[in-house]
Amino acid sequence: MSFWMIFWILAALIIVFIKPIDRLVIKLGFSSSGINLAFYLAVMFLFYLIFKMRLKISKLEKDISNLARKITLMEK
Amino acid sequence: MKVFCVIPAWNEEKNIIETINKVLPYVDGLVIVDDYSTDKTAEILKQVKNNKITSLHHPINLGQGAALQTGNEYCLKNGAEIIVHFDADGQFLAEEIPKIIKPILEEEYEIVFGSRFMEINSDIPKFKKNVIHPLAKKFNYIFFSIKTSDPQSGFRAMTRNVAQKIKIESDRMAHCTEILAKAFDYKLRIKEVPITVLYKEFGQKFSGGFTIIKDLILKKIKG
Repeated sequence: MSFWMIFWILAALIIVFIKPIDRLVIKLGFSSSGINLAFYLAVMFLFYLIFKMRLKISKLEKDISNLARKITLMEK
Repeated sequence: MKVFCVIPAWNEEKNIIETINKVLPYVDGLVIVDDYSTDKTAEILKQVKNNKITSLHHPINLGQGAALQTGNEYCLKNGAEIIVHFDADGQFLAEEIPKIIKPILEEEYEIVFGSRFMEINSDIPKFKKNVIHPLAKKFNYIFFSIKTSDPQSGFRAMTRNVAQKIKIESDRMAHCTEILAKAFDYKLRIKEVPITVLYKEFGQKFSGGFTIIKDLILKKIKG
């Protein structure tokens, strides 16, 4: 829960302070705008989230298999 | 030595009884694992009454790898000393079971893989033989140091110790590579013997190969 709270707060802050972020981005030497940078970071973050979810699903599938196997063998 | 055979079965109502009858004379115990078939496979198996035959039924469909692991665990619990894996669809010849367990019985090998590419010319579809299998072999060698002539054969035999060591974690079709990779990784005494395969219209689809690769890569990342 706190993860998503921080996420939404950060997102709101980025929107509110987009102009200062723009200036920071130009100072750092990037050619894109602050909004574009926000998009790039958001996409990278999404990829990371999807990857983590994939690993979690994999673990769940393994647990389901083990449970199903236990049930199968218990019936004999 | 007590020889058990595990036959994973999914929707094999047409073939399962014939396969059972062919395999039974060559083994001391036969374990058929019904992987939640949606046809009459389960009903047919429940009617089979024979002391040597056990049928296990998964409560959900898990895949051939998972079915083999379930079969292995049952065999180990029931005193099997050699475990043979055999397909339900009639592509393998039961008469070759003695050939596949011979290296374990007489030459102290620990795991034996049947190969479609040694000596006997099985009627393998050209695309599989000339494109898919060579690519699979290269993939196996590069990623897992597997040096066998057949990357995907499902006809194998192993000792009890090997079945305890190699826990099949790939539920679907990547288990063939997983078993090979672990056998090489654990430096087991490995032997390949030529086997005959009778090809019918089925067999793994091309897209199945991508699923295998995805499963294997995911496993490598998780470690």
